[in-house]
Amino acid sequence: MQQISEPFVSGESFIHTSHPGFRVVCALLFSLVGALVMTLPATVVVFIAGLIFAIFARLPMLSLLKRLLFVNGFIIFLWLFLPFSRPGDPVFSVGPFTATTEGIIYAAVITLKSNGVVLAVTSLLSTMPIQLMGAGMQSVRLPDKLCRLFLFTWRYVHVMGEEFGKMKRAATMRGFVPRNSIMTYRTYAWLMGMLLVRSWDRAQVVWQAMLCRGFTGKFHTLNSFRVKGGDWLLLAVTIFFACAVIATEFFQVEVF
Amino acid sequence: MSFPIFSLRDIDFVYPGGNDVLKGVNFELKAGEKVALTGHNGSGKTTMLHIIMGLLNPTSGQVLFKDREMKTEKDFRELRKGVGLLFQQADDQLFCPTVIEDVAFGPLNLGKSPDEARDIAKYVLCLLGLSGYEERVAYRLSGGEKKLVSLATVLAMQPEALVLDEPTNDLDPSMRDHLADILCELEVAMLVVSHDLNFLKRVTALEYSCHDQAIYKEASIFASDGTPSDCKL
Repeated sequence: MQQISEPFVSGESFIHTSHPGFRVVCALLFSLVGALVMTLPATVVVFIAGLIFAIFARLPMLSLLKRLLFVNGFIIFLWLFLPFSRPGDPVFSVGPFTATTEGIIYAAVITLKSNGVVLAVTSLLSTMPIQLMGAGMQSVRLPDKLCRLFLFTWRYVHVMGEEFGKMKRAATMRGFVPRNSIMTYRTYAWLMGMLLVRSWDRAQVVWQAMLCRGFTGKFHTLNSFRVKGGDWLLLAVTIFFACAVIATEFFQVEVF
Repeated sequence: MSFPIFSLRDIDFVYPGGNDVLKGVNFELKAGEKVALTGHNGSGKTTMLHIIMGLLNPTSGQVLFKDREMKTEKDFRELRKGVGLLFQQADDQLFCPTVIEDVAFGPLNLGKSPDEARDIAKYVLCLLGLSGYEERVAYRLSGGEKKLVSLATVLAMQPEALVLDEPTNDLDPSMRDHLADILCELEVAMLVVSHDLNFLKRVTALEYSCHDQAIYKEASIFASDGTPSDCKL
């Protein structure tokens, strides 16, 4: 059975035990600020803050590096193009292309802030099981529909995967081997089409099951979280980081 | 004291596209009765169950719950408090992240407080021998466990009648026995749709069959006094 792996969930750090809703808010706040700043010093602050979060959460090093490697796998492509794409002081040239200081800084800005935000979000959100995150989202009054959509996606994504696997196995049993041929593409199109139809049917039945158990449109939750002092501290730290980032961005504090 | 919990009167059902599935169906389930419903694939058994629950509207005829006619969605909400449907596919029934939330979903909808709902859920899980499953994640359970948890979600509504749609479908023999034991112990009325005659023999006392678009009472292969031979009610 496929599972969504949650390598950071087990742990007893101060972040692991804090209020899920607070963590959702902190992650939202920090990633919003992190995503919007565009100067190098500010993104350095984002990255450092991300590191501090990761240290707070005592994330397992190996899993964390794996995740960062994954993210930076995309970013590496930016380094191939961005340095050459901006006008400015030339640094070096490869054939007809010239890398500029501005281009390199631009690539560094994107690298730093994506890593910083990933670190912070991993520390804040990946440290709780997904169902807790759903409950956390509800507890801080994020739109009901959004929370429900999130939880249902998580609940049924593996069911869909299983359905797809079943159909694919059925095709393999009858001698289907994926090739670069029209037949292959058509088969995959059918599989996807069937998946859509089955998902739709299943959604209908799940809805009926909900009606049978008295669902009237409001999702009640069992979870009630108590807010502790540490939760406010976490929020305060996040706000402090956010302010530090914004201040560096606007006042152009000279880091270098 | 055997008044009907729900009854169907002269139910016709035609699927859009024109094929008749049910014609002039009459049926009632009395308190404490345990009834089997058999019939070929496509004979309209599941359709009938869905009509009882108000998930499908009959083309004509009446659905009654405690002698009151059910017409609107609001009426059927009342019926669904008293009649629990166990779906064929457990995955359809378990849509909450954890087992305890799934079992408490019904009670919460009935207006119980989170604490009460949690107590009811724990009690029902314990009843089915599922203590310790509370925080388990629904999709990581085995097929048999999923079936029992879905039964728990239905029982948590504290219904007077259960409607079970092919409960033994994908269960192994030992799980089937376990489920039969549990159902024999329960004192609620039951309508069990199944192709599994041995299971039906153990759990139910009366047999109806669904063919030629109607429901017929069978000269029963089961015990005739209305009590399943090896069950204590």
